[in-house]
Amino acid sequence: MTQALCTSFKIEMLKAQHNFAAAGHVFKIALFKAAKVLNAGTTVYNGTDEVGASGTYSAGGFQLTNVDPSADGTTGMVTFSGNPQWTGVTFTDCTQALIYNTNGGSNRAVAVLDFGGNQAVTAGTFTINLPSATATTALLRFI
Amino acid sequence: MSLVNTIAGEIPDTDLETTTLEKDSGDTIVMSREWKYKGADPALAEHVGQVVRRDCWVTMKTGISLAGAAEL
Repeated sequence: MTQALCTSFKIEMLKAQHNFAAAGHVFKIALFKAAKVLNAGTTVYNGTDEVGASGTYSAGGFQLTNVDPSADGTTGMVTFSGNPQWTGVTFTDCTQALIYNTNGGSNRAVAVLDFGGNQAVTAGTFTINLPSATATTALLRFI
Repeated sequence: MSLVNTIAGEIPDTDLETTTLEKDSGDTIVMSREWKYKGADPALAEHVGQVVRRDCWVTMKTGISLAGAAEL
């Protein structure tokens, strides 16, 4: 699998169905096993093959903290404040994540993140360090 | 001495062997830290030499871009 912006998200952006402003919609990031097929064709979050609940991880994942979208030069950027982190968790199979929009219970898919292989955690802490908000590295970039 | 939370409960760090690993996978850098039990507590004998805790940090180098259209 590879990282991807979901195609449905691109269309939904054009229909003003996503609001990343600080007071906008609630976005979450959920973790999935390798068996989960996530790619540009993913349209919504569902819990099939999500990692199991343990420690501070529960179904649906981590609620992200919106930051008002900004620009760096001519690039529009979306990022979130703070890094998703779960403590006291045990996963034996975690390879990917899905960012999605919970607004109205729609759970519309935004982007798929690839961890570059299976990541295991044992009674420990799992952290995703989000990239810096610049024109070349921001989490979501509209160039 | 400090205590480390593990699958076997809180264990003194002096009874643990720590290993840090790093893997660059292109889009991400994954760091992990493992604690193996090396103590002599008979109650924890089954854990000797086993990983009793593992932390993981996935650092995304870059996010995802919606590449721009051709210049008009």
